Amino acid sequence: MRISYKSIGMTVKLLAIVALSAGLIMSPAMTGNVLAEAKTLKILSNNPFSGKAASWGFSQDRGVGLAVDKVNKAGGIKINGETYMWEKIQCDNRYIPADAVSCLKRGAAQGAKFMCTLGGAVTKPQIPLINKDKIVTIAAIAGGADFTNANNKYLFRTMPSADLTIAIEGIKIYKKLGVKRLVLLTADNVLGHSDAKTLKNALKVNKMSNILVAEEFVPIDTGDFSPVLTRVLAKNPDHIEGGAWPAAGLALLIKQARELGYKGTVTNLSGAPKVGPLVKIGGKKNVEGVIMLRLWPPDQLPTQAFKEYWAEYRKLYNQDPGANSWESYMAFMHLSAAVEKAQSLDPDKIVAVMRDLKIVSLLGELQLIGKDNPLLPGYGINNQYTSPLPVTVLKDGNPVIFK
Amino acid sequence: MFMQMAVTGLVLGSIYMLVASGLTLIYGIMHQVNMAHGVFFMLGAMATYYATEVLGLPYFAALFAVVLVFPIIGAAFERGIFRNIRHIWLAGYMATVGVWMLMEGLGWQVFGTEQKAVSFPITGLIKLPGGAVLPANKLWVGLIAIAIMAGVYLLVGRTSLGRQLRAVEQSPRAAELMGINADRAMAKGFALGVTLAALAGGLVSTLYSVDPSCGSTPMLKAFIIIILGGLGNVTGSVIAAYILGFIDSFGGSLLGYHAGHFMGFGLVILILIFKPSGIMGDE
Repeated sequence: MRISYKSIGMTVKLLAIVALSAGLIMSPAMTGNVLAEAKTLKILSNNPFSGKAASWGFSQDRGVGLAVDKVNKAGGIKINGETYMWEKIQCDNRYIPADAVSCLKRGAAQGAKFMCTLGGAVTKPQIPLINKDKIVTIAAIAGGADFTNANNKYLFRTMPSADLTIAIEGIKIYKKLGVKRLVLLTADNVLGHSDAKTLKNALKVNKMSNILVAEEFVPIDTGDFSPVLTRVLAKNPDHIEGGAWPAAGLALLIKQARELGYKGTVTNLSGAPKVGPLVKIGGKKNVEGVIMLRLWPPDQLPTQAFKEYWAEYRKLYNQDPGANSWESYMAFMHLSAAVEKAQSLDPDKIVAVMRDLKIVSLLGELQLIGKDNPLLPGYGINNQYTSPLPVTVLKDGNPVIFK
Repeated sequence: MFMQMAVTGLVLGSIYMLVASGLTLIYGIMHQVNMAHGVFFMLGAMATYYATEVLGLPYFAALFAVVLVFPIIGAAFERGIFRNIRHIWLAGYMATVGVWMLMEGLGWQVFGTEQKAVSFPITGLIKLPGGAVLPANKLWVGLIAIAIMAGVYLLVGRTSLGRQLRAVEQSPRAAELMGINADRAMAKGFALGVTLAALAGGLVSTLYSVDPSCGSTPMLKAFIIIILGGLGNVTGSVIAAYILGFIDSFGGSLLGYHAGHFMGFGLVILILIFKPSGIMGDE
């Protein structure tokens, strides 16, 4: 019998296919029954992993990932004598509302009963599904009572709301800077409009409505702000409030405003952009003096646990963590502790425990507030995480505490 | 404010013109809608970033490297993907969509999620009459864009390659009967279009930030321009780019961002109703 090179080649290919198929069948991902036996709690990371808001998404995803690893390395959590391990599953929503809803549906179909997500713009359309399917959600969203209220009992806000940032710290900062002509130039999405509403209410309460001379909303992926800046700079502002820009958007806004001769001050009270890209894209000189909330200067971290978290994040990702990462890390640790304390996987029991549970986390004691709190009007429910809120100003390209 | 709006319109128009030039050329020669145009813009921006910020090359040397490397990349894409399916319009279109999705997705994995910046070597502010100001980097990017377009005009209108491209654009079969290798001419045209997109990315990256999806918005603008100007017509694209630049500037400054945007699309719809072939397109 003559064996041709062609038939040898074919045999090798067939063997390779058989080996590959066997490998796939033997792999844990394909053995459904193995996964079913391992007690797993799935948390969906419904985040932007591409697009202009990707830096926010990765920041939150990594924070939750570090927390998941920490809980799992410690042996997972025990519920009624059984051990459960956490598993994080990811879905890229590209910061597009419809994609975020699709991600949630996909995650729920994969068995996720918990979720982390961010951005008011993409969280808002998810709320009906979160409520219907009782998905316990930790979300980095600004806004106010429009998100955190008694109707949304499964939605927990990991970052300080606009009622804490803009309405309290923002007004203090404006007073301290002596702002006389304020322009709000923010993202044209649910978050930007929610921030605008909160800002206007706060200005009204403080009898400062007259300082707001213009408000403009532009898409979050805007690259050239020149036309809209020409429009707002014609009002001679002495302060620009950016609201909720990620680093690249804020950097371009400031850079182009400076190029058009703007010499006033800038704040970005909701966005917590990453400092590295902000300075790099905006230029150190241009972003000098920009005031932001939720950012800790790396040399002024308040606790040892936070220092260790910072170092671990840096080691893994070769960059400083963003606010979304540690806020989501803390919220997940709190959620995980609540699940264990509830000794149940019933979402209603879990959220009830969460509201009263206090844990010690990276920045000290972590708890939920909102109910009967005069600073948080209309919330009516303890679904707002609270932790120390630093105010930082950029000096020579680095954040320092604003005094 | 009028002067400022006019200056902004001119600069935006020049940038749009450059971004649309490669797309116009590829459509003009191959009658192929290249949905991957934004990808080549992004790759040009990324290449410039890595050449300047990582390898430490001077900015203009990095741009020169883009001019040297991207014709090869463009020719490889044409030969590897588009040549075999370009006769089936929908297949060609879907292939470019596929390249766009694949390359953008890969970009996030390869280049990372952090937005990047490329510094332009010339900085400063130029004060103009009427209180208007013009950043020096924008002026230079605008001037270089005009110079590149002049070069494209000369290449297409006055060189042997240009004659081949124009012949292939009119009729590939007739061009072959005249002794022109149509496949090769199309490959050169595609490579030129890709290089223009990459060059636009390298230049515009100094004004904005760079990430794997940074080509999407310029691609959208480029499509508006080539439709408005008349599909495949280079002169029409230039006129359309400046019209869109002025609309964006005046509309955005006087009426707000969305009104400016609406005016741009509104004009496209109006022109297409009354002159479906675009400003300079053949009836």
